[in-house]
Amino acid sequence: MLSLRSDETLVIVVRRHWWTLLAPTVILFFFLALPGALTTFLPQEWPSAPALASPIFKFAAAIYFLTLLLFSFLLWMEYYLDVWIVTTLRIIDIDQKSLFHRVVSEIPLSRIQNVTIDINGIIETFLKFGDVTVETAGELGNFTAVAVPLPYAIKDAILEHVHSTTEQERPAVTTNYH
Amino acid sequence: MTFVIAITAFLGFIIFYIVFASAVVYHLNAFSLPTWTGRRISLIIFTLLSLILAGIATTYFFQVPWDSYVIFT
Repeated sequence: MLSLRSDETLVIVVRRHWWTLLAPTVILFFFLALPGALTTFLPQEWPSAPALASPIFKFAAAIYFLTLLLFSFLLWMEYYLDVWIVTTLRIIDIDQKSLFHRVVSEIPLSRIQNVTIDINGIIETFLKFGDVTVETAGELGNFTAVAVPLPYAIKDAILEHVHSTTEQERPAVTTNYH
Repeated sequence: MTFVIAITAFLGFIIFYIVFASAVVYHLNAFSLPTWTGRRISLIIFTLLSLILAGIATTYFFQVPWDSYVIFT
């Protein structure tokens, strides 16, 4: 299980907006409704079809729904684990690409130079979601959280802790006046 | 003969299901923070639905007159 260091606290957890789940959910409900539609319309269109109330069709339906359940759980897992965990010290970027493929990156807040948000389109504007890109110094490169809700609030939360981190790490300045 | 083929396929499916579901559960546990409640709730719902559907499938499996179906002639 993931755990935070003793000297850091959780600031915000960022997941994709629910809009990104809409298309897979609609497809899932289509496949959920398909056996019901078949049992309603098939006997009317094909009177000589085998009895749908027979045990073999009920068995096949149970296997069908088990498979759908497994894929919906997989879909949920990919959504749930594709996350940005923002703490007072770092951003943990877990990019869950598929069941056995994930990329985990850590971005120290002290290395962040800029945070950019990209809200592109009518739906993103009205539903208040967009992309948040963190630009870092050095070889780390840029990290983008795609289609996350309330990008302005996320940007503000990150920058607030970036500023407080850099203030803490800044060395004491001694000025000598001659 | 048909029953043997059917029960082999059914057991193969159940084994595949358990392995795949275990992999999903493992990843949910390995890459979650302890405070995330959605993980536990989804695991409970998934496990309960899986057990119910697997029970229904097993019940109807043994009601099917498999040997009345001929696969190889």
